[in-house]
Amino acid sequence: MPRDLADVLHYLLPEAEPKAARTPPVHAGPTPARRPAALPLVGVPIGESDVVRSALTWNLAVEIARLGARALVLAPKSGGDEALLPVSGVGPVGVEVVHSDARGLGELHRHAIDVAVDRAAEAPEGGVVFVRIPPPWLAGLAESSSLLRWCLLFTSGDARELLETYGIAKLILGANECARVGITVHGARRLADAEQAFARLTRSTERHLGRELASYGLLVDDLDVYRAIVARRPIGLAHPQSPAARALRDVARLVLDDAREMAVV
Amino acid sequence: MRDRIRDFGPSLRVIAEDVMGERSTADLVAVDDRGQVTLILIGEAGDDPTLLTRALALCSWVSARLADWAQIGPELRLDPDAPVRAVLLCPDFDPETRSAAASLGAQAPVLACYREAHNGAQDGFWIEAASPSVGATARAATGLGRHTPEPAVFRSGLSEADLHLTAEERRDFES
Repeated sequence: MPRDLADVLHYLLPEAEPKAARTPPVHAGPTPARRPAALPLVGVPIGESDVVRSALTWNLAVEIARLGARALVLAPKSGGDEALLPVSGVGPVGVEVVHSDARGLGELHRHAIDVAVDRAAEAPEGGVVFVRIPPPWLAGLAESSSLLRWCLLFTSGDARELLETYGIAKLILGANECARVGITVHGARRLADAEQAFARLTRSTERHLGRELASYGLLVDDLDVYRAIVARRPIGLAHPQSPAARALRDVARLVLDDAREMAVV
Repeated sequence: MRDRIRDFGPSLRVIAEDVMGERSTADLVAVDDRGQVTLILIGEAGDDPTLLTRALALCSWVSARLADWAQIGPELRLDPDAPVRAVLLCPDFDPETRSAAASLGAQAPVLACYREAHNGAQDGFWIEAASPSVGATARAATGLGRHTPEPAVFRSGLSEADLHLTAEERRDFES
């Protein structure tokens, strides 16, 4: 399902247009009629020592939890720096970080399923499990993995980073042709820059891969995000009224809405 | 040494000390008025071969993080696209270390010898160039660095080869 960035920009930026000034709903979306049997998994490729993407993922999980749903981050111990995320356990607003001993995508997927089923029992409002995937595990993937069924990629508008993001999307779609690949543009200084970055990515994906990407909004380049990263304090708790926190909440809504649609009931 | 930092560039200012990289530490991290980062590593006699290896590793480590640093600390006015350069300070440099450094071309670190100096009650040190010219090399590094090819590995740790990118796909994302 293609989605335009303009759909999600209503109240993210101070200079937002009248349409954008409408008050966001208090709740993220409809409460699922039934408790899910398993929380959906969102694969997030994050490189070793990639502090920004790790922090964005964790902050996104916190925002989803603030919307009343369950949110976890599962990260393998190998293939990355576990110090990028908080220690294992339950953190702010109930967000849980789980470290996995998995040494490959298959093992990681099995662990993720266990966690998704187990935590679903405590998630009447639904939720999501973010699974950090070490990018080298995507390269040379011999067989399809349903862990890649839904992936979220964070990218800035930098040309080289867009090329990298395109390449990772290509790997994911090559390994799972049914994959839904979502893009969140971060570090955007201007709305036009973010739109241009997403348009560039999706144009190339359609042209070369015959596939569309889903937009999961943008995170404005707000210093508070990076200060929160340094302080290891979620932006939504440290500066809840900042443009960055509101932007993150909007991305969280999009993810949670889709998670509720995709939840196994 | 902080007071002598301008020996290696008139606009250099120190922004951090003892910055830990993957395995080792840069003694000083400085930035010039163009936003180019300089790492300064100080060793003792005999440390020069190790210092060179550490400098290369630290330059690579810092380069991969410059964009994040620029976002975390915009007030530092870092240029994430400028190549990271290194200055190595040692009492002396072995000819092999000098040759190895020189072979790196535009990416060669600046080598400088230091000597402790005692003048009555005051202690200090003086610095002399070990590479062709400390100032000239520093200036050259700034200019030549613009032609340094893009790093082969992305932030994800994957290379273009890992991503199986075609020339046409790469062209789509040329700036």
